[in-house]
Amino acid sequence: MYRSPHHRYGTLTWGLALLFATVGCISPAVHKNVPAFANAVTLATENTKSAFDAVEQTYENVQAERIVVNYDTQGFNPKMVNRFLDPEDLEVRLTLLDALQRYASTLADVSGDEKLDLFDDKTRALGSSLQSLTGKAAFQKLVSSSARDANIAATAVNALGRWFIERKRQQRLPQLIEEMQDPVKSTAELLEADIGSAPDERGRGGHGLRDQLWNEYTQALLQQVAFIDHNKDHFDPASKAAEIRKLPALVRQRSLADQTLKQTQAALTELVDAHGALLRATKAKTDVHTEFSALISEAQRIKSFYDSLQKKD
Amino acid sequence: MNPSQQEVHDVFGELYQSLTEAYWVASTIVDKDRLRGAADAVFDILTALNRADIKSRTEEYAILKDQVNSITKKLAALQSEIDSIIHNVTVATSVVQAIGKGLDFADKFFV
Repeated sequence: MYRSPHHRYGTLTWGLALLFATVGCISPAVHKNVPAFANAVTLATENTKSAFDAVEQTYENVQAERIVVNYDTQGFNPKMVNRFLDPEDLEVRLTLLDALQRYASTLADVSGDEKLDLFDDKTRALGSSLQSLTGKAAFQKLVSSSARDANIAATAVNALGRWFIERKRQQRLPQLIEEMQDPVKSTAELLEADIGSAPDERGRGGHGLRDQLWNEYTQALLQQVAFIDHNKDHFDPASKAAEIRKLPALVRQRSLADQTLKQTQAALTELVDAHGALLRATKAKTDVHTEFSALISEAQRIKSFYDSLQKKD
Repeated sequence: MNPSQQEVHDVFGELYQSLTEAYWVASTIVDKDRLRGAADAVFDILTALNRADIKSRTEEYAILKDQVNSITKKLAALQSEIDSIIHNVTVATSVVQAIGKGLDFADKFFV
């Protein structure tokens, strides 16, 4: 029975689309959630690094100011200078955050459309080469084949290759994302515990970086007052006013710094939420309507791919 | 029963708060310096407690880092498999191009 080329092509498109739909594709919600998670990781990483830096830097300043204020009575001893955290304690935290960033960027690479686009480009090149081959007189002497057949072959390779890529992603990504949920949650919980909380009005309940930074600013206030008290007879009026003005500024900075650390804790909670949303998206069952839409969309993609080969005929 | 780390922290936290409150209302430099000296000492104790609290979690971070790296390796392996599919098409294109060149050559040689 004769079938028109158009009908033949239509059957091919739907056949390949059906093949593709038997596996389905990584849900669009996953594509949407991966960048959100990657952004949350970047934000949490930068904020957490800044939190540790801020506490360490303020601690350094407080030590220096203490040495200045007490110099006349205590002099100087190198043992008066130390770090708040040992470098290895900080290093292991930063390494974990870097590892999380690598995970997020690899996840974005694996789940993104870039690989599929690259695959389309490569199969398009294959289509052009096949067309060129079928156009050669020597080839035509050996095999009776047309440029249209070459296009159909390239389209089939494209659909099958995409099917393989999607199949691998759908088989493995949900499991890997699920495996990562607990480490992401534990990391956030540990960092939130490190950040801790500021003391209340009675000085209770404080611990971690927030307590440390709050106390460091309080120390800075005591030292600034002591510096003014001990030198007030030597200041000219403008210098004295400038030193006194630093006091309310320090009080404001203490609150602002604490709020920043509190926001970092919120960013860590968002990190867990973003990964949870990603996990839910990989597990989400698509309804019939969505699957049918995906089928139509894949058929349209295959048609566009086929058309792009024909334009080169 | 031994007090918890937070209970110990709270005792020194309250003491630090009391000393600083006393500092703001002290009227002589001598009193202020005495209170500041005591506050400095309590600040050092609170710093040591905060440092120990943060340090106590360091080992857990090392374990987590290994877990994250292991999962990322599996992801990277999946990425390599996808790359190999793309690479196969590139190889197929090269083969088709080589066949074309071979046919061109044969066509000229055997005419």
